[in-house]
Amino acid sequence: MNRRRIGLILEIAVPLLVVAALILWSAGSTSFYFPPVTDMLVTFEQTWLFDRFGSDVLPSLYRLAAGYAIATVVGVAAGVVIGSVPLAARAAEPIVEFLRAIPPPALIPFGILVLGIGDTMKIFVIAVVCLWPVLLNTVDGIRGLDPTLTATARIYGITGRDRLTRVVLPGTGPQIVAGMRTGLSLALIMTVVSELVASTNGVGYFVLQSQRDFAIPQMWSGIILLGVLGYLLNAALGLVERRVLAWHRHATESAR
Amino acid sequence: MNTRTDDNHRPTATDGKRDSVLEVSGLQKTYGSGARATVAIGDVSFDVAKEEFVCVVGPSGCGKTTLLKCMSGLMTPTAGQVRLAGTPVDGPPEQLALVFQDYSRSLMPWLTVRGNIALPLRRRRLSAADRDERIREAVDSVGLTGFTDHYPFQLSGGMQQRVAIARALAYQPDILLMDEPFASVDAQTRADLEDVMLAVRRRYGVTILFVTHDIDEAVYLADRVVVLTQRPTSVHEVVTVDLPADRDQVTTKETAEFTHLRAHIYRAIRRPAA
Repeated sequence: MNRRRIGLILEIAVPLLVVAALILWSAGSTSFYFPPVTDMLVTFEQTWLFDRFGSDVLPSLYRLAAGYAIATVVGVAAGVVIGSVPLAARAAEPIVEFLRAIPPPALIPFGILVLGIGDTMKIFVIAVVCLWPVLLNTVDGIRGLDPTLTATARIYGITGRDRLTRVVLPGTGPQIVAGMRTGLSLALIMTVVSELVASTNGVGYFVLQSQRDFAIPQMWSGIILLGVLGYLLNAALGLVERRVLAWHRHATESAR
Repeated sequence: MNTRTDDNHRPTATDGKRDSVLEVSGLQKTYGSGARATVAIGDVSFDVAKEEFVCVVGPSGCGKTTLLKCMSGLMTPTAGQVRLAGTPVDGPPEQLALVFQDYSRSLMPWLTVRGNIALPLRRRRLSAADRDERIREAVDSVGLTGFTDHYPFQLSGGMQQRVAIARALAYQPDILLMDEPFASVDAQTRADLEDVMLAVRRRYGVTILFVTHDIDEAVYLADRVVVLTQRPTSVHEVVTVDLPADRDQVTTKETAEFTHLRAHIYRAIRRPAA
């Protein structure tokens, strides 16, 4: 109990101390590239709360959410098929391995060519990137389903849709969420990358534009915002996971 | 056929005019083929009458689990046949339930006790009231009243196996197969669960085929004990247990009849069909 309290205090205090140290250390900074942290924070407040929130943050979040949602749905669906049907796995594996090996930013020129520089292209590249971790983890999860559990389903005639929604998907849930967590960080990366290459708005666009305008505190505020967004998105996914997979957390805890 | 089914035990009143629920005839299972083939089950035949409690015992590694998988339709035998209520088994029959040894992996960890018991009942298409009544009765009869909203991880191993038994009872199968169901619980829990089985057997009139490696358990529970040989497995002997239906962990086990049967089966397993 005492140990846990100390842990909690450290968790909150250390980041605050680091920020405080950075503020003190950079206080008198005259460097053009590393302005005082207080300047960055003031700029952050002026820029993002909420002057450019609607014009840049929302478009970025929209692209990220759309690409991520498509990847999750397609990844889980394809993963269930590939994981359940051995022949489908044999057929799909070489293709999956090849597509997965392509560095995703390389798809952007193709995306621009075919889909233009609008949201569709960005959503497409985000979806393509997030797809693989979700898909591969789902396949792993399906293959890792306990044989006793699937035998139980067979014995009691739990088939078709019931089997999918009440046995297979819950049983694969922990792996699916693990894939989604990897996918989420990739989604944020690809959102920024796609906005750096061809865009007229978005947080990535804003960071690049600020740099080009030598608006260095603005550039830094954009970078900080991306960090905050990534942190919050991960925390949100963590909350969903705690709710949906509560049984898994408890079951693994009590097994220890 | 070279099996010795029912040919060296005293005939009982029920012999010959039994109403068979499960019939196993000439069952054989070979893994692999050609030079690498291993015969797991040589030739097994026996039957289980309606409302009978039959235990299957045998030396370790004698293919008890393979036999059970063939009987439950999870595995196709190489030769021979299993019939449930006269119908050949070619996949898990709707009127059969199976309780696995590994309770922790046969319960859905994401469902509560109620959810676990209710899941197989979906195919029975019961009204909500009938379903709830079946769940309530099954939960009561295994002594889990008040635990319906618990998750498996909140229960001890013995209680989890009670959930698996309740799930099978609520399903109301023609036959209940049990694969060494109490092999991974402690001795006290095991005795409790054996008594639970005797009680639910009476309450539900369910036909039970119970595979175990524990001879005491087999004699204590069964009306008849099927004794298997080493691989390639065949039926060594079928022993009728002439103990009164009311059994008790202490008094039944100290009777001369119990000790005699137990010793008889021990010898049979140690010196299989010479």
